Amino acid sequence: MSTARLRDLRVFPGFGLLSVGCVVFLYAPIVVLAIYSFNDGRSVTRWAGFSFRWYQTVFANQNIQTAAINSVVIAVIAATVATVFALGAAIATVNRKKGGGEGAYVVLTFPLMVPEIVTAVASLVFFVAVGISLGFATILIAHIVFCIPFAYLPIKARLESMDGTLPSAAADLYASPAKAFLRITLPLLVPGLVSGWLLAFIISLDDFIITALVAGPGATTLPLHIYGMLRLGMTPEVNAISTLMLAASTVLVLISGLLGQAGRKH
Amino acid sequence: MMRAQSTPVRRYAATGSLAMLWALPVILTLAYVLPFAGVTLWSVTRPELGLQNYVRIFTGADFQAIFFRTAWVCLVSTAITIPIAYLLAYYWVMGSGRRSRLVEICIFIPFWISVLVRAFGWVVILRNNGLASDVANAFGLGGLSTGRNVWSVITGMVHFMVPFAVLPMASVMRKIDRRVLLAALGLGCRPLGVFWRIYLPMSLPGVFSALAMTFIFSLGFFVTPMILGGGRVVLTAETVFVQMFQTANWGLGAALGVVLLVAVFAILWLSQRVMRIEQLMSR
Repeated sequence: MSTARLRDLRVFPGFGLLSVGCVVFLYAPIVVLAIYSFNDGRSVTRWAGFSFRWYQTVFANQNIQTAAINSVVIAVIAATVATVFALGAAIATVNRKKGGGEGAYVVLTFPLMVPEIVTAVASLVFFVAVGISLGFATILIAHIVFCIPFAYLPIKARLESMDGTLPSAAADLYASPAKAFLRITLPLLVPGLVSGWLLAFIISLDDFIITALVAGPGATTLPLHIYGMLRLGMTPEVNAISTLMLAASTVLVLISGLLGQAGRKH
Repeated sequence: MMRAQSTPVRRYAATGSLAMLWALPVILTLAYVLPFAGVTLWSVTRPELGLQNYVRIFTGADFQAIFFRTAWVCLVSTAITIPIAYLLAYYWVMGSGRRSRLVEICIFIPFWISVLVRAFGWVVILRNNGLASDVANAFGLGGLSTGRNVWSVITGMVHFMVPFAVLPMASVMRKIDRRVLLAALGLGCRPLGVFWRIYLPMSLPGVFSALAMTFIFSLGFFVTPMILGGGRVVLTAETVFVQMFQTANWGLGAALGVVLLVAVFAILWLSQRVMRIEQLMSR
């Protein structure tokens, strides 16, 4: 009965139409991109028949493949290392109001608010000052650093919602701290770790600004390559890459959604 | 209770993560604080010691025009983003199961799509002789201004910001006690009145944090204005890049970066104050 009354609240005249409009707005560029990736012609706006030719072009393009592999390798390493740091940070800061926990939280979440171009310039200045030559290594270091806050938040949230008495019970049953951590805390943290890792992975994979500044000559990632292609002129090849990336991120979202549901059931 | 929860965590802190605990501040300082200190140093030492870069930024008409444009674009895109995001957040939280899930997918999938790809999608739609002008022509609205202009940039920015703005609003809306709404309905308030006089005021904290977040994010926008503006709508973030890497005015670029950073923190601080005041008022 109460839900029936609440329904009165939901259905305001015009709201439905407006929200459909919002959804169309959110999806319009994505759908258009995907459709024209199958265009037979060279135009990204004039339809000239259906074909897979641009996908063939993408798969035949050695540079795109190198860039894509670079991107994935960097994203996997950066997300993994960042998740390990974030796990340590989360364990060290959660429930530690006194011992600098609050301070660490502020330091860890501030980078999320800093404009990316400023972070990019700061990273570059740092690498130049320290004297590390720009390339694959600097991209990797920069990515690890900016991924830590993203990995940290879901892990922290999970740790905070965790039943704190369980590790305590393990300790009472004579589990050593290390054992209690490995067999109780860590398994319970898995959903947080997974979503933290995925978030860091996507953020790293998608990053353009910081990568562009610290890449130096030679090293390239997928976003850098796509940007180069956009500057040279738009062909449906960019649409095809974009659609492939779209498919990949959709799969990732679905995986994380499924894992999230599985986590909720436990 | 509090104690029982904190002890096991303390035990780990005392053993396994002790090294991490000590290493962490060092790493964080190295990673986050030092580089920014370096930028600040560059801004007052390049090309020579002094505040000349800041003087140049705050007195030059060209930079003032850029700041003004940035502020204007950010305000307009925030003003458009918030209502759209509010509507979506409302449907996500209040909608029936299926509708809510549909909105959820709508919010999250664009979230995960490369910012370059999204900007490119809008270029395709909005560029001269693109789909938008075709549609406009079909409806007899010839001469609709499309292509690389401020409105294209704002469209792309709003599109990027909406999913981000939905999250804080939805999390506040989720905490609104539905019994309050039912009580109002039961006392004869009309649904629109319930929304206007109860739901909206109760969701305002979420709106405020979404506002602050959207505005702060939009200040630092780089990729979207660069691609959709095509050099015609240069905002502050792109200016930092241009000064650093195209004209090699390192000091000036660094100073602009510092100004951008200070602006962000000022807004953050201000929004925190506003929210605290808002909390006081609600009590």
